[in-house]
Formats: sequence, C-alpha cells, structure tokens
Amino acid sequence: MRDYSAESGQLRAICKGLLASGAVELVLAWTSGPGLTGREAMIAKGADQLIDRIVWSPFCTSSIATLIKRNRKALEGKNIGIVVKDCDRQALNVLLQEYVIKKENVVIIGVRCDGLASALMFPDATMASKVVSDEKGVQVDGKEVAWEDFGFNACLSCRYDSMSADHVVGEYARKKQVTELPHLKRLSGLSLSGRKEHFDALFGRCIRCYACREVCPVCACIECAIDPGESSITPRTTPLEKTSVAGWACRGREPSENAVFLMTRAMHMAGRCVRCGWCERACPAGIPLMELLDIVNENVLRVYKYEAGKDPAAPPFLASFSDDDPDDSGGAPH
Amino acid sequence: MSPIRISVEGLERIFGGLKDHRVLLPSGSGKKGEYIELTVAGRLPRECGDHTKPSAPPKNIIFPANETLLSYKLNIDGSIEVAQPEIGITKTILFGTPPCDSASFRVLDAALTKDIPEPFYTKRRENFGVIGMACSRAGKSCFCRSVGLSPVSEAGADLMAYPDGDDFIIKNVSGRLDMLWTLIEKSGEMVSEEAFEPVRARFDIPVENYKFSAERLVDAIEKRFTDPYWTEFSSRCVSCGICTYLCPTCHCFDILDVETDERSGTRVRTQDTCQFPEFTGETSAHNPRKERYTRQRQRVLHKFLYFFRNHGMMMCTGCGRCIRYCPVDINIAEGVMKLGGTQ
Amino acid sequence: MTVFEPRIVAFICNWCTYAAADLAGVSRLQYPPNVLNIRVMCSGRVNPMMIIRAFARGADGVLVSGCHMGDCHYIKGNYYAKRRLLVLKSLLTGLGIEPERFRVTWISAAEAVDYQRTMTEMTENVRKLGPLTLFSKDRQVALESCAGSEVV
Repeated sequence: MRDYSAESGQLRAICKGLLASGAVELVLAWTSGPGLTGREAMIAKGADQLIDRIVWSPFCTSSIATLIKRNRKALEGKNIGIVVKDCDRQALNVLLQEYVIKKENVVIIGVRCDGLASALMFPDATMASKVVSDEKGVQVDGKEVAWEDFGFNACLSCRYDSMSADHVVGEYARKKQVTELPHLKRLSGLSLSGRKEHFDALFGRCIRCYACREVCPVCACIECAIDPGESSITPRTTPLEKTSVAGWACRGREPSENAVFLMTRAMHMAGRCVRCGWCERACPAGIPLMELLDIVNENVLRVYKYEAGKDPAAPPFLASFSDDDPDDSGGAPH
Repeated sequence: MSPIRISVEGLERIFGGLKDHRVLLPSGSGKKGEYIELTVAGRLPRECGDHTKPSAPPKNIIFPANETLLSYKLNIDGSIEVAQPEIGITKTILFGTPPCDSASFRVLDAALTKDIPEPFYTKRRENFGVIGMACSRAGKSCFCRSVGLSPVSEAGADLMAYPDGDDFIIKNVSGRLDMLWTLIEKSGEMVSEEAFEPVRARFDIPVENYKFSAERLVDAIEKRFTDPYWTEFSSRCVSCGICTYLCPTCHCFDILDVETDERSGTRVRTQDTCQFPEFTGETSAHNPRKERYTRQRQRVLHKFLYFFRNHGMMMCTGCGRCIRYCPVDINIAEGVMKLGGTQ
Repeated sequence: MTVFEPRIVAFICNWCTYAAADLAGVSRLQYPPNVLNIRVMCSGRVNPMMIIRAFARGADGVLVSGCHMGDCHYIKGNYYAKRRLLVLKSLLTGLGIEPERFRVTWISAAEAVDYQRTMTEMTENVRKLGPLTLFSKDRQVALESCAGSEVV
C-alpha cells in the first residue's frame, strides 16, 4: 500500500534541502490543489507557501518536463531540481540527448509511478483527502477505483519498471507487464480499409489547437516545423520572405491538413516519444493519439530495437542508422 | 400562453412529421459527444445536465469550425468562375441544450447580428431555433448562477422543455418557433401555473462551485488591468486555444485562401483563437500580445468586462468547459474571483 | 468510360535514379506518363513531411528512389533515408494506406530498365487501388459544395 502523503513529505524534504543548500536555484515540481489535482510550478528558495504544497500522487497527471521547454529563457544557465515520474524521466533523457538541457544543470528527483488517475472520479475529495494505492487501484478516503477503470491507455501499457535519478522517492506497488498494446492489437485486427475509415474519422475531429504539441515533454522545438506561426517573423523579415514561410499544413481545419499535422508529429516522435500519454488526455476532441503514436513507437522498438529516452548519450534515432536496419518496413502494427 | 404538457413520444412524432426540418440533439457526453440528427439517434433525450454536455459547443452548428465561403477557378480562356454555397436553407431545430448552451445564442446574436450583421451566421440563424431544456445536474466546473443564468434560465431558448416523467412541459419563450408551438399546443394539454411551478422548482437547483456575481465584480476587475496576478494566472498556459474553441460564445474567425492548384481554390473561414500569438500579429511584425498573460487577460476581460459593457450581458455563460478541458488546469472562475476580490 | 489516371509523385536522387531516368529516356523505354519526377540531390534529403504533403495535396502514390546501399554519392545519405522512410511506411500502412501507394526503391544510374519497370508497376498498382481518399475527401466535398449544392 503506497501512502502518498508520506511520499509527498519525503519529496518536500528533498526539495527543501536542495533549495536551502543552494544546490539548485529552482525546483520544478507539482503543488497540490485545489482538490486532488497537482499543478506544475517553478519554486524558488523562500517560496515557503509553494514548497509546503509540493505533492506527489497518481493525480499529478501533467509532465513537469514540459516546464523546461516552456520557460527556456527563465531557466537558461540556472541549476534546477526537477521532479519526474517514470515517463518524464525518460523524456529528460531525450532532452539531454538533444542538448535542450545540460546534465550539470539538473538535479533529477525521481518518483516511482504506478500509473495516473483522474480526479474526476473523486468529485468530493479535497486537498486533505487520504490518497493511497496498491497493485489493484487508487483509494481516496476509502473509495477505491481500479487502475483499468481510469482508462489512461498510456499508463495501463507502461513498461517503465526502474528509476535511476539523483534522488528517488516511492516504491512500485504495481507490476508492469505489457507484451502487447491492446489498442494496437485492435488496430491490427482491422483490415486496411477498416483502419483507413477509423483514422479518417479521427482526423476530421482535430481542431488544430496544438494542445498535444504544447503539453508534450519532448516537443521542444523553438520553431515548430509544421506550424511555425510567427516565430520566424521579425521586423527585418521582407514581405517576400513572409509569403514563403513554410506552411506545411494549411491553417484551415480540413481533414487533409489535420492529417498532415498529426502524421508529421507522429514521425517527429519516432524514437523520442516516451509514451506519457498527456497528448491524449489533453486533446479536447477525444482523439486517441496514443493509437497514432504507438504505430510508430512499436515499429521503432520492435524492428529497430531502439528505446526512446533510455540512454542520454545515444544518438537520436532518426539521426543515425545501422547496418542491421531492415530493408522493409516490418509490416503493419504488431 | 400557458405551458403545454406533451409526452416524449408525442413530441418525437411531431418532429418526425416535420418536413424540411432537421432536429439535432446532443448525443454522448464529454469528448465523445456530438450533435446528431434525431432520425439517427432515434429518441429524444429526457434530461440534460453537465453530464450530458458534449465537449463541443452547439455554436458549431450555425457557426461552423470550417466553412467554405466561395470557390474560384481560373479557366484556360482567362475567364474566372466564382461559386458560393447556398447556406441556411434547411430549417434546423436544436433540442435539449442546457441553459448555458442556449444562452450562448443570445450572446452570439448580439455579437454577430447587430450593428454589422455577419451574413453567414445571420442567414443560418434565421432558420435555426433552440429548444432548451432545464438542467438537472450541475458539474464540478459549472457556474451559471454566477453569470446571471441558472439551471432554469430561458435566455436564448425559443421554446423551453421541462422533463416530467414520460412527458415534457414546454413553454413558448420567444415566439420564433410559433409554427412548431401550434403543433405542440394541438397535441398536448395546457398546464396551469400551479401545476407547472413544482416541476420547474425541481430544476431550480443550487450550483455550488465558484459562487460570485460577475456583474458586481466588473468595476473591480476593470481597475486591475496591470495587476501582477495575470502573470500568475497564466503561468501554466500553453496557448492551445482549447478554452476558446470549446467556449459556446467565442466567435472570432480567420479567413484563408486555400489553393487547390495554381488555377483554383477556395476561400475558407475558420474559427480563430485569441490565444494563438498570431492572432494579433501585425504586418510590421509588431505583436501587442506577444506575452501569454496578455492573451489570457484579454480573454477574461472580453468575457467578463468588455462584452458586458457593450451589450449588457455576460459573454460567459458559466458552462465550465474551459475549466474542465484546459490541459493545464487554468480556471477562469478562480481568476475572476481572485481579481474581483471575492476570494 | 473514363479511366482513372493515378497521380504519382517520385522523389528521385540526382546521381542514381535520376540518371537512370535519363538513360531510360535516351533509350526510348516507354512507361506511363503518370509519374511526376522531383529531382533531389540525395534520397537522404527527402523529408517525410514532403511525402505526407504530397498525399495530402492529391498524390495517389509516392515513390522515393535512391542509390543502392553503399553507393550513395554522399556516402551515407541513403542509409538515413532507408531508416526514416521505412518508419514512415509503417506509419502509413498502420493508418490504412495500402503499401503499394508508397514505395522506397534503390535504382542505380545504369538500371534504366528497372526504372521503367518500377514506374510502370507503380502506376498500374495504384490504378487498381483507385484514388486515395484518406486525405483528399474533404477537398472534393469542399469543391462539390460550391457547385450549387447545399452546405447547411
């Protein structure tokens, strides 16, 4: 039985210590409230109100690693402590691989994660509620919900079962053993035209809010390749240059343009997606994005034997090759 | 006109008999929800509440996310063909929206049909009617009462339906659906005020979250334009625009020309969002709202201050979608309460 | 009766496949005119976004062809291309796009006959499959909707 108030207490002590000793200038962690939600925050020394609300529980559903890309300027050159659950820990490795952050600037505080839960299932809970979990599910003030009933695809098919970090909090209570991703199994059971119909409908729902891109911890490009928006335009940009800013996907929300965005993003995630699942949770149109991403993720893992975020010193997947690369695509999703 | 009691089946029969009409209703809830035709759904919904609201707002029915304004083609002989779609011909009735969604049409009408009428919305609106339904369950992010509405508010509805067992009690609110009302009157039976009141009272439920009075906070908020709280409020924002896309009253749009090839293309109107930095990008590359907090501030002030001053009604209807679906938990009701000084 | 004429876009590398196309030309080898060749300096230059966008803009089939492994003019370009494009192919088939619509081939400068055969096969295979609807459906709807029929 995992007691999250105890684990939060340990986490708080570690963060407080790091800030007090000056080892880090900022701690990036979840803070509690309102209710069960954990909200990301950047906490400096002296911000005692925030430090005292540092929390860790299955309701910390966001990825702290996204704070790095969102606050590039503010964090540049600073030493930071960052609290990461398993998938975020892998995302950090991807960011290290790609020189978005430097190892000497980061103290990694890992929290072992059994999966995430939705606070919506406990509408009466408050910040003071007792949160515990075991291999079966999550209990809040005695009310239990099984892991499967939260329906977070990415968590139920998570494979991460070890945490290496500068500090580690918590022990795994749930054994993760997934050999076949259920949503991919469903997809490969469909015929080609069945799959086309399925994705046709999904591409039509996309409203191009780009929430999936914004909440993704590894979508960290300063200027997005697919939709650079205005980021490349300065007062020195000539009118001719403005008209030729690459617009890979038209701004209109037609299925073809949505498909360009979604498929390109899936390709850009090859060997980088850590399967945190936040894109799917954030999507306002309920598009099962993990289905799309896992087609590529499984191909990279099974056929090329490359694990995203495993080794920060490894060359990025798409920026390297091997003599053993197969000559065919390895077929449909497994 | 007194309210009319009609059975659910009776109303379904009337709808089934309407020629040249389509009846849309919310189906499914949350992210999987959508608005589908009664002929597809088969049955009318017998209740509505936060638990039956689709994440997509009903504004998309007459203010689509993506709409073709015209198509053009340059022929080999140099002549140009321009074609425009015919719009708003099919009479459409939306049945079963909660008051927060019905009221959104009152807001959209004020914004898009007064002063300079937006022709596409106005045309569609002429043939579009709303049958709102009293709300039976508020959700954790609802706050309709704080913006001048309630689970029994009839604002924006042309007819209002109050579920009662196997019947609805229908009230004629605006007179725009008189033709349909006549059919309902013929088919149902009149209900006295005394008999109607207890049914109505059942839906006059409290809404416990975010209790404030937006009208009373307007002056206080206006004075806090430069308040440092805005930065804190938007600190987690990722400018995805979900708050505006799912908002039932947001109506900003962008117009783009989409080339099919060098000789032809379409002009498309898409919903736009004030949360994307490009929204205020100027030709000189100057952008008055480059920082995120300026964009969130604009959104909140538009909803709770500017629109109220210009039109006398809150632009926000308290539906709570922006709170529920924000991927980083930004809460406009919390923000307004903090700025207005009631928290 | 109109026959469906597929639109195929081919990204062919300057040093190998493009040269093979040239050789096919001077040798008067016949193949269908459905292929739009785009010369790139190396197959490694081909960005998956180009392929995705080609499909989105109306291509019914896309081909990428470069030098044989070990023979790349830039030494390693085709190795990167092979990995990248085959991952893309797994994505496309995962989405339901028939594998015959996207092909990756390696054709050297002398292999004009292979070039001819590849282009002919590709055209005929895609012709059998018909137009690609995953992307272009909405464009057809948008254009049809302006031909006087109603968009509500």
